[in-house]
Amino acid sequence: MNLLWKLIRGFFGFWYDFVIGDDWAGAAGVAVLIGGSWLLLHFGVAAFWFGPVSIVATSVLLVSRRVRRSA
Amino acid sequence: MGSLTLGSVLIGSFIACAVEVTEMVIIVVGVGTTRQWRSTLIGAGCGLTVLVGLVAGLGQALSLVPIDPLRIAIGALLLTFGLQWITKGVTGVAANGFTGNDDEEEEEAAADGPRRGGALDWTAWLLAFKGVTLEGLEVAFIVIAFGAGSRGGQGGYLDAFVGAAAAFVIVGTAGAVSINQVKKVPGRTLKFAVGGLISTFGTFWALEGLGASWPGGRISLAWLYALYLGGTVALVTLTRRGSLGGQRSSSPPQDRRDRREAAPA
Repeated sequence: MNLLWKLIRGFFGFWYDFVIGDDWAGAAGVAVLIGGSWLLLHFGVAAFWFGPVSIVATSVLLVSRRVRRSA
Repeated sequence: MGSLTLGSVLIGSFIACAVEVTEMVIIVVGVGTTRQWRSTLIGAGCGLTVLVGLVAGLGQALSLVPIDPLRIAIGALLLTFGLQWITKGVTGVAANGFTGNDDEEEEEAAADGPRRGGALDWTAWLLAFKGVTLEGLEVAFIVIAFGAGSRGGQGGYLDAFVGAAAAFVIVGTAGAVSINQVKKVPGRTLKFAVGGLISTFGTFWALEGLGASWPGGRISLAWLYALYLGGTVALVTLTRRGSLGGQRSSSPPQDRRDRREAAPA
């Protein structure tokens, strides 16, 4: 039972670290990118520009949050 | 695609596959150098094994596999990881410069997980596995498309396969040759560059999977990477100036190695 519990915890822990990492804002930014692009495409609007804009905005947010945390 | 002669099938397949294999090799070399080579190569090997199994099991029916949901999932996962590396790369470079080693980097490497030897690094394994599987599937689709579009019957598939195999050998060898040069680059600088690359592929695949069309097709990868690199360099400058909330650094930091050399004996 202990081994099973360790395996389950290890599995979910790995995915948590991979997707969320040090800051949940990164995963939130990617969710905004996917959802926003889907909405734009759904309404027939070109969406290629929305991905890079989301990534640049999320990078600024992530770096400023990391800098503030370590200040 | 119309009917193609056998020569044009071989050349067309080689060029199209070389683009895919280049993307595959960039991911494997980038992840292997920044994380752990053993896990990266095992991940790449597992990806190739899955791919060979799929091709052998499904044959031409492989073209019926829905690749768009795969592109969205893999693109989104690459983005979450790429953004973490960009963030660490920017703050690391802002604090210590692009070159030279420092103790913080070693501490960060230890916190990130195993990079050399030791236990399997599942993050490196997964990144390499996904990169190889997705790009390999695209190579298989190209072989099927060129083979089906040729005038040569089964010979068309053989020529398309030879073109793809040549792309694997030539681009793979170029990637292997570049490893020693890439190894000399400090970890934070690699994170900076590879984070941008992984985010570039992630953005491209996620939006392609959703159905967006990129102006210029795969050429968009070049301007996307240039945009992300430019953006991260701008973020380093803003971080050093203290514009993002941290302490202002009046001059670009010297490398620790340089500082040691400059210190009085």
